[in-house]
Amino acid sequence: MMKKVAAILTAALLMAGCSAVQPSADAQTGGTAEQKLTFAVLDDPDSLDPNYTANTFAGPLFFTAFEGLVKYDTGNNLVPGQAEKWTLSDDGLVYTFYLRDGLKWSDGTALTAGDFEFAWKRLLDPGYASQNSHLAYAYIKNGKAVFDGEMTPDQAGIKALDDKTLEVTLEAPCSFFMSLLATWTYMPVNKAKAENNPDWSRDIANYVSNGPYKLSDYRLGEGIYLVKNENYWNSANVKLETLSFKIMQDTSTALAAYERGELDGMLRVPSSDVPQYRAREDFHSMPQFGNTYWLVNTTSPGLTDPRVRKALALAVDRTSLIEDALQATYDPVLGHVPKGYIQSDGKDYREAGGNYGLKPNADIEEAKRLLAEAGYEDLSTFPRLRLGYYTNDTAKKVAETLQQMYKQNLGIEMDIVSAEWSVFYDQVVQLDYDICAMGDLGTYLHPMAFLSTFAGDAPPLETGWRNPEYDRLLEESLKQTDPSVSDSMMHQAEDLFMNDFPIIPLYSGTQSMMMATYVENWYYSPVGAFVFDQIEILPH
Amino acid sequence: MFFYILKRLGLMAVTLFMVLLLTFLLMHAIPGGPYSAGKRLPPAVMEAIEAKYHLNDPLAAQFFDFLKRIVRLDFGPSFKYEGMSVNELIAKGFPVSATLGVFSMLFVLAVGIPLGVFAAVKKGKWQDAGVTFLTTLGVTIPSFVTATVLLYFLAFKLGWFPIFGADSLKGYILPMLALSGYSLAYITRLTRSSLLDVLRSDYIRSARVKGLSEGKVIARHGMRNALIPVVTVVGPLFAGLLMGSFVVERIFAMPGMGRFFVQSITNRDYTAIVGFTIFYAAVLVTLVFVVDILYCVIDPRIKLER
Repeated sequence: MMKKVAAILTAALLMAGCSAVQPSADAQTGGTAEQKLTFAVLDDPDSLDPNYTANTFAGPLFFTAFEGLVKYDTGNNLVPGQAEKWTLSDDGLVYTFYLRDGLKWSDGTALTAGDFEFAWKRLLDPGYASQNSHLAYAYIKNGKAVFDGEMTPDQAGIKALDDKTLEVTLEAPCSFFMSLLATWTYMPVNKAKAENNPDWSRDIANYVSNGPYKLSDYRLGEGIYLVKNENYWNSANVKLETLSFKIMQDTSTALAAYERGELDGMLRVPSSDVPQYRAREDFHSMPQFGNTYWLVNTTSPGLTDPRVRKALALAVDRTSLIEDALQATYDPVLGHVPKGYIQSDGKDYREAGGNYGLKPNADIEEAKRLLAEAGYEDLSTFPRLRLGYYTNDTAKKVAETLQQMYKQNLGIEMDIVSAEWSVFYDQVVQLDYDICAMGDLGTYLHPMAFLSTFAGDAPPLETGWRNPEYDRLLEESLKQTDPSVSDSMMHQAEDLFMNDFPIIPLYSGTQSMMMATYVENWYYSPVGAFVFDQIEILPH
Repeated sequence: MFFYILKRLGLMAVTLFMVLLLTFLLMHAIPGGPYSAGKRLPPAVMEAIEAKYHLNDPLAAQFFDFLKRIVRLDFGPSFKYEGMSVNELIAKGFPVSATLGVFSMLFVLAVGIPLGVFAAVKKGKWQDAGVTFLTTLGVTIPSFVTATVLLYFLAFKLGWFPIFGADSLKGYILPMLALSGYSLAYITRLTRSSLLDVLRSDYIRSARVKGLSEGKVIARHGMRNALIPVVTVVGPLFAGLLMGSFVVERIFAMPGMGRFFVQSITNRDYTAIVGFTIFYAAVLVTLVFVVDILYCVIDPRIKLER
């Protein structure tokens, strides 16, 4: 019902498209425009402290108000941020970062390497209990032992040598450590403030940050309001004076507000509107380093044979799923790690890794052959399985499409079941499902962001699949100083995983956005970084 | 009267305690916890978080923690919004929802009662049928449809109102209209039927026999009694309007409490669920209590004893 109304509203919006009021061209003479951007985002950050939260809604604030040692530019390159330069020891273990001269917090006080040291050590403090602790303790020397309380924080491999030099020792070489440093987890916090008041970040009037913008106000459920930070090292090159993120959960409302010129941009165009907006110049579909796949319970009756699981992966027509059912501009994924990571040999990891016999379209013949080989020549004897999804419109569409494809392509009937996320996730961990919706969005641009999900004794996603060799390969790959050896080990591990088909890979999504054509020099990276520091508003 | 009030206050405390107990138990009966909602964290990280927030303590201990705090009117830290207390969540969301709720209530009373009287007076005529038709629409059309339609025509097409926001008072008008629909229809119908009941009674007949004009009969004699059922429902209705609406607040991007209330459940934000529920319950029982007191003002025959 809700969707139908939304569809009607959308259709009406489109008809009205031509008459919609465009943003006022208020007497812009001399070729300058007011440097002000109002952009709609989906929800409140659940924390204003960059070291604490794993929640993606925090991205708009942290990527604009803070800056890490390195950051992304508009071309998706990692470039120096707070660090001017750095060195890495020959064994790949010790990074030495040299901060820029005269770095300051937004309140004008000096920012030192000690602030980084303090922030990172907090990540290892179990009492602080950062949701992203694992992004630190897994890599920093003695990190896990400190987190487990077996060592003191001083024994961790983080040390400010002086005010401008930070030395970080890793547990093992880590080829993607620099891309971790671009996540907000590794951004600094003001030591003096945070030590005085653990809830410093909720004291909006005294909030300090070190990025191109600083917080002027935050109103829960309403908006995050930022202004240019004059104390930022590169503030001479920051053009935008005011940056407001409006919190609008209803994307149809946001779209209407955008069309009326109340917003200059917005995140996530309602999926039902995408087909009509796709061709517009101000519509952007930003590729994401993500994979939407379905989990297969390898212990469910009927699914214990890898050949059956492969057959189910083969019988899905991904192109039709994306184009007809979802009407989106997604990219089919034929493996576990999606496209986006460039190996040491210059090739894309996914392209080098192959497709495990999968195709963008369905391969029904091969699927039937595999099923027959596994003893299901007569498919009427195939157990009736459940296709589970969590409350989400897209997941629902995928479930319905898969159900129909399995029926049409293989003659297998399945039931659709759904649950609210918390309940659903509980079922996944308890292995109480047959085949169910899932997906991953890499927080750093490296295959390990995906591969690590299924490693170890207690992976956060349970499929019943375990392989000690897989765990060993991943562990070894991290220790390699030669990136090509590391790449090849990750491929071997992925092969072990994919040839057993505990997942049915489907597609790599995109983030749809509207951004007015007068907004220049912005970027939304595949790992969800808002690169807004160079934005310029053109006269309009 | 004094003892009656004392007794009622005691009963209110018992009610609130039962609400707390039931909410607490139900909340823990649903699967998932605050930190499994929307995220997938490694077990070691989960453990640290659970220890920090005492989520692994025995249920009884957790309950007494809640109770101890609530007695001091402190609902504790939100599990979802790090660094914020549930009291702050209420303090931020409630004014927005309450402003909207007060406007809606005033609008509902100012329009609903006269409309109900009008329909009762014109009973059986086309005007009555027209009002019945409108109220049927009001009761059956869900608020998200009203909200969407209002948003589309008045804000998007005509541009008379801003599309979102609580920045200006003007921004409250459309959400108020969307929120009022059901209550307005309900009050109108109730006023109509209750006035019709009263108009059939003997003392109204005597008033008419005395030669009073129909206007005076209704205004002086009819309305007072006809309003009693209306006042009865105004209490709970007002409590509901004050707490805000998830749907209306979401569509108009209003930072009200209704949205945080509903989201606290999907987030499994335990302290917030309990906090919002107790707050709602407290407002509700208080308003019901006020209504009971109001009875004697409207109708001196009603005695509040025992």
